[in-house]
Amino acid sequence: MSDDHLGPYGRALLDAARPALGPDPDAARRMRAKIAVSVGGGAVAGVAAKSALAAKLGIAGVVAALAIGALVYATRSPAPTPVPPMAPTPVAVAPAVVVPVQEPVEPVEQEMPAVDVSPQRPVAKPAVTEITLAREVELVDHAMASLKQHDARDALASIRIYDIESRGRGQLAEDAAAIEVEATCTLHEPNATARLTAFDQRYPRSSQHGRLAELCK
Amino acid sequence: MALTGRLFDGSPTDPAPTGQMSALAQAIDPPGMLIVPSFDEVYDAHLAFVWRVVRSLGVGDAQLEDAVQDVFVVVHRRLAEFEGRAAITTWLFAIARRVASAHRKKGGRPTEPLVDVHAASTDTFAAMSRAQAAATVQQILATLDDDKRIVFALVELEQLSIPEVAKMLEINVNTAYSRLRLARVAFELAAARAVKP
Repeated sequence: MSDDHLGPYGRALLDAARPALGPDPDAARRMRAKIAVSVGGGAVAGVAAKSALAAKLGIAGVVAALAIGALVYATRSPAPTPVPPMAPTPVAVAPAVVVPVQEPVEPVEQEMPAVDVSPQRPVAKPAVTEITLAREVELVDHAMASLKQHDARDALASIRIYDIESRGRGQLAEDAAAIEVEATCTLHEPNATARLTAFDQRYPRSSQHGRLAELCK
Repeated sequence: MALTGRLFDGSPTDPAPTGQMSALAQAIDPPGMLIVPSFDEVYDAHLAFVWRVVRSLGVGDAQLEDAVQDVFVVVHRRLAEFEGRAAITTWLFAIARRVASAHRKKGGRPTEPLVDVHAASTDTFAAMSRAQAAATVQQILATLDDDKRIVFALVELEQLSIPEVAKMLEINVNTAYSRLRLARVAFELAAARAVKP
């Protein structure tokens, strides 16, 4: 067999297999339907009304408050108590809750977001469930909508929730980080430049680099 | 539900290699004029590519549909940001790579052990059903290490050039050639064993 080509057995096998190496039609339909559900569930930017977005933020605020509360509880309890898994976002509309805006969060690569707890004790890692992509899209889209409405603090609040829920493992982490940079630059926060530098280092090939650099001048 | 552009009718996707889809793969025509395809066009044209790539990136059968679905949710969200600086397959690959990484962390290694493909085969692959042949390919690919498997898959299944693959994987061209050579040898030996047990 030549090094430059696959040998006859390998070639024959690939040729025989090729038509069946993709998804079957049923799988294609199933996935297409699920994608439609995912992107239709509050993911399409601009579709949701402002009140609906506020309600979603309220829900997100409740989730964030629960998560932070669980962290504080875990670090102050005398005996280690398992933190219950975070419940998925409820469908019912919850009353709007103001999300406390804290200092900008740490970069997404951090395992746990920065939470203000007792400095004498380590921060316990809560047993939270994996964030769904639909939830990621919801939070990031909300943050983007807030930026478009010139509400950078609201955008940062959404990204803070995103960081808490995704624990630095989100599939839209790049988008979330870009929004965070944009919001901090818009607010002229003192750490805005550092955020931009961290973003560039983490996502050197990001298509948003030029736009963010221009914005943060 | 149509997301953008024309309505998707659920028809089977074209399993042809990516290299045969130059029009959509490039998404730029004429020079300097970017034509961003609709989501449905991307889905129809590149579902099979994403499926094979995600699998080659080590996502097991149990999570494959979920992972591919996640790739296209991200694609739907970010299609408007596609700037045409690279082929759309390169862009899709970057998304698929990140999604596959996330799914691998959730658990599940590559393809589960497969049935004995020799039982129903005679002396040539032509006698195998397509499904059997595909299962054999997956079985062999699962034995390759991650770095070699993805290079092999992109070159031999997707018919991409080595420079393209090197760019996608952000590796040196010589490294890509080296991995391909080793993967070809391993694949050929395993394929030969499959027909001559």
